[in-house]
Amino acid sequence: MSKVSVGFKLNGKEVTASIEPDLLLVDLIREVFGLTGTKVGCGEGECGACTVLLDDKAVNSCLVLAARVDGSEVITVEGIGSYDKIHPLQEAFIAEGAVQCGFCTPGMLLSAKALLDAKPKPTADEIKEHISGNLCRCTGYSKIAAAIEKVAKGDHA
Amino acid sequence: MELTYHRPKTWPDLLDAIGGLNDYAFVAGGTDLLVKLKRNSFITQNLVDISAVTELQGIAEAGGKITIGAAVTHARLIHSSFIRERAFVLAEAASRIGSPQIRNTATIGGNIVSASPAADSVPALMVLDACVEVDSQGQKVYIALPDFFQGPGKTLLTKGELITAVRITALKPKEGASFIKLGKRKAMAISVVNGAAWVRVENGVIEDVRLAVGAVGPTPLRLPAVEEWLKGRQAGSGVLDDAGKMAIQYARAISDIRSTAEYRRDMVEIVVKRSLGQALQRAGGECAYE
Repeated sequence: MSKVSVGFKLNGKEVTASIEPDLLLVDLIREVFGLTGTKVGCGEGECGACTVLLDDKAVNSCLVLAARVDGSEVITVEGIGSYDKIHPLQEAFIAEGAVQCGFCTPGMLLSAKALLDAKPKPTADEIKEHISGNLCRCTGYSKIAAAIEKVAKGDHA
Repeated sequence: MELTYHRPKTWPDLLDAIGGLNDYAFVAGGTDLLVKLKRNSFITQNLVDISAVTELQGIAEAGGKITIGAAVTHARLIHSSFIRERAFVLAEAASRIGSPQIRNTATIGGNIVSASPAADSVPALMVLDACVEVDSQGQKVYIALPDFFQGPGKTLLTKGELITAVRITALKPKEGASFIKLGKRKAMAISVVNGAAWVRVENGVIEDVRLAVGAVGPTPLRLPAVEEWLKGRQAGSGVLDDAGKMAIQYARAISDIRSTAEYRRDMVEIVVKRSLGQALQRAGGECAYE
C-alpha cells in the first residue's frame, strides 16, 4: 500500500506519522502513539468507547480513517488533564462513583467535554442526549449524568 | 490489496485525483463504508475522501429551493438556523440519526447513497420534494429522490457518478412538516418504521400534502394514492385515521431482527397519522416548529 504522511496536533503536541491508508484513527492513537486510554469496543460506531475529539467534535475514532486527521487537532482522554491535575470531569466522575469497570469512561469523558466546551450550562436532557452514543453496562448512567451536571454547575470547577 | 488514499480539498482537485484512476470509491463521513471495508464486504483500490471538498459543504437558498452540499454533516443540518427556520423537519430527522458522534461525521449525501430502506433523513427529504444533484462525467443530472432508490443499498448511481448536492423546497407560511421515528430505543437505533408528512393548509382544508414512510419496503416510499385522497379534505381527526389506515396497503414490510412485518404494517398507520397530525398543527402555527 502507498503510505500516507499525516501531521496533526495530538493532545496539544504536533506529531507526524507515515501510515497505511486504511489505518483507523483509533489504531493510530493506540498502536502508533501508544495512548491506550482510548478503547475499542464494538468497532462499528455503536458503543462510543473509542470517542475522541476531532477539531473539538466528538467522533468515533474506530470509524475515522487516520489519514483524514492530517492538519487537524485530536484530543484523547490523556489530553484533558495531567497527572498532577486531573480534569474537573474526571474529578467529578470519581466523586460521584460514575466509574465502575472503566471501559466506557474515556469516551464518556470526551463526549461530556465536547458538550461542556460548546455549552457550559446544558440541561439534564442535553447531557443525556450528548452521552447517548456512549454505552455503559455498569452504572445505569445516572451517576455519569450527575457527575457531568456537577461540573456544569461549577461544583467541581 | 493495494489501497491509495486521496483527500482533495476542491472540486478541481477531486477531478484531478480521479482523472487517471480505474477503480475508486468515494468516502465522505465513512460511518457506513468503513464498517464494510473492515468486514471486507467492500473492496477498492482508491479511496477518494470527499469530506473536505469545499464545493460540497454549502447550505444555500435560491428561489424557495434549498441546496445542501453532499458532504454537509447531520450535525450541521441540526445546528443550521437556516434549516431550522425553513426546513425544520430535516433537522428533526437528522437529530434522530445514530449518535452525536455519528452525526458529527456522517453526511446527508452518504445517508442517501447508502440507500438503507430505514434511512432517517430520506422520508423528511422526500416530503420536502427533494431531488439529488448528481455529477455524471462532468454533467449535472437531477433525479427526484423517490426515483433514485432501486432497492436496499441500490441506487441509480453508476460507476464514477457522485451525488454533489440535494435540493429541497423550503417551507412557506401555511405549510407544516413533521418526522416521526419508531425505534427500539431513543438513541442509536435503526428505525423499525419512520415517516414524514408535509402539508399546506388553507382555511382548514388540506390544499397539498406529501407523505413518506421508511423501513416498510425495499426503499423509502412516497404514498401518492393517500396524498391524492387527502387533497381538498377538511383537516380533522377522522381524516387522519382514514389516511393512516389507507397507508397500510402500500407497505411492503418484511420481518427482520428489529421487528415483524405485521407490527410494521400496523405502525405505518400510526406513523402516518401522527406525522400528518403534527404537520397540520405546525401548518396552523398553533405550536410552530415544536
